[in-house]
Amino acid sequence: MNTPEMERFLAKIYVDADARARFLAAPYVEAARAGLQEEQCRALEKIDRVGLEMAARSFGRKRERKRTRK
Amino acid sequence: MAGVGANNMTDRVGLGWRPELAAGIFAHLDKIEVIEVIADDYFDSASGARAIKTLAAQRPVALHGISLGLASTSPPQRKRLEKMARLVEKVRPESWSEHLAFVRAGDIEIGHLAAPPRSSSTIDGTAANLDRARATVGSLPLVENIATLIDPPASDLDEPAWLTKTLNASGSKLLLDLHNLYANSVNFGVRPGEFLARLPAHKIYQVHISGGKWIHDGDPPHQRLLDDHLHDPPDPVYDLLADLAERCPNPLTVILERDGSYPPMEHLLAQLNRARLALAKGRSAKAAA
Amino acid sequence: MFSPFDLRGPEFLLFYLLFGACVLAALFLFRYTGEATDPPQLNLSDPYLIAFLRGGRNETLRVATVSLIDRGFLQVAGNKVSAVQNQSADALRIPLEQRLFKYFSFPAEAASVFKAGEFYIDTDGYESQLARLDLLPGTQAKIARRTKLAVALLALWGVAIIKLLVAIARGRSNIGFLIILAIAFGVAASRLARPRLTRRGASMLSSLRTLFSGLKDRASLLRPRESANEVLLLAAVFGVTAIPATVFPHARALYPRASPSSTSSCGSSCGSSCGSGCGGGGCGGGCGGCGS
Repeated sequence: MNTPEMERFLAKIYVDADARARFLAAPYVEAARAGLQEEQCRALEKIDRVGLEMAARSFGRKRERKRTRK
Repeated sequence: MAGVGANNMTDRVGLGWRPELAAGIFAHLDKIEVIEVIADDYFDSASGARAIKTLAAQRPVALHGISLGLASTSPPQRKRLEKMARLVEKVRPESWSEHLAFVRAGDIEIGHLAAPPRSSSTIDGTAANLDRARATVGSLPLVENIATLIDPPASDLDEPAWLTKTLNASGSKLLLDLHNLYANSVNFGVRPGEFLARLPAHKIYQVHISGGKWIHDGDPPHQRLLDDHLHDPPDPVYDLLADLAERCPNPLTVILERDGSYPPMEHLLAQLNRARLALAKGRSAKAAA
Repeated sequence: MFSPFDLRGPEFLLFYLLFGACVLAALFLFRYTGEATDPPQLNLSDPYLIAFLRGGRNETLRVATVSLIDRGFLQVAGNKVSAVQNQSADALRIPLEQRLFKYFSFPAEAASVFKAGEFYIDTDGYESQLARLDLLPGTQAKIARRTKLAVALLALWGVAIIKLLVAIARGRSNIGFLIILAIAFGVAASRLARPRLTRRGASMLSSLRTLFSGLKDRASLLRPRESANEVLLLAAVFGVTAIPATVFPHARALYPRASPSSTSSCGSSCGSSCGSGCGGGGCGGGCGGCGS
């Protein structure tokens, strides 16, 4: 069920707070809009929302730390 | 110094190289059998690579990559693979390793290691990427399981099954991060011992131990264990290490990872000793069985 | 047939300049490519070995004295150093330190150790160890270097002497510049042929500076008496003047002639790849937790 498009979609909602907010408001719609397959859209409707927010924040902190180290 | 346990297994215990620990590491080299170095820090530094080669003359060095993103349906960036290849050629480490994670998609950099969907397409992609890595670098990396705060979406395999199938498809050996195993287990309702029991012990050659902290989020608040490498390994990690030593037929190289909030060197050395005791306990139990 | 010795003064000087530059370049290349670079295994439990590699006998004594002061075995009063009363040489592991402690049983100037004969046994030992590891030139290396130097000097001075004789035979007396140039080339050749360290030694020192560059960056955070290990290594690798005055205020008073060691051009050991791509640590900070 994984494809480069799926990974791109996941990366987007991990790093882009607006994209993530839109996704959480309408997961199937946003996934379909991104061109994902039906099966993938259905799977994303059931995403671990708590984990998503925690992971996104953690990734953001890591990116920020790297920026300040440069 | 190397722990020759029951069955003449020569397990080794070492530490991750960090500049902040340099003085302590050099002052106690006799107590550190292996040093693991983050490869990416030396990709673009010829003098840095020379320095790591000098370090490798003092103690066996294992190179550990963090940015190839091999667990992906997309290929890794060729330039990064070539940099790894050049570094491996220069330093001649005893091994190199990477993570079973994706780190970017197209031009989007996630900023850290993300768990891909655990599916057969990811397994196929990972196997192809590991093949590319072997062709470019000249050897297969050991692959490491990562910790994840999110249960990877669109997964149709659980983590032990996905790890096992990935190892079988690629022929890689496993660098088992016990704190990552522990964190994923407690975060997603799995018994750590059962998780460990489902892994192919004969494919495990290296081990990471580290620590983390509980983080809280949401309303109502949820808590999850974050693998931050800023804390001591908790007791269950040492229990898992003993358990692994009892099951695993291979000599094990155990690396303690610490990335900040550094305690005195003596404290880190005590953790290495604790790892040695756990290994010895496991090997004795294996011999007695 | 053309002979350079028939060239007139200014033209010959130009020729000799070019010739000398070529000889020096060849000398450097032959010496450089003839020496190994692969790093040996070094006994790093004794940091004074590193200090000797970097700066020789006096520097080793300087570093050891500073370390003993930092660790409370020696004390400073004015420009004199003396052993602390309630300490014992038995608490010291390294023979050089034990001998230094005993030396300062009576207050003495820090620099007086440089002339004291009792430390040769230690420093000669370091020199031998480093020569065995080919980090300093041993007997074979010295012979090879002297041979290369002799060949270079033969070429440089041979050409100069022939020209001088030709010039004198032709009644020319403007030979001053040629003599100066010949001497200068001789000095340069001697320096190029016989640097203090072997190529392997220079590479080792450069690598140690890179490996410890993080320590140098954090020097201002070191606390007196609490970071003894790090102070010692900092001094051994970079010199006494690398220790901040807040940690060791006595450096300049005790050793006014000590000069800062040149540092590696490499700053942070992470090079320039910090932050590129993924990995929470980068810059030698580890992977920052192998997971989100």
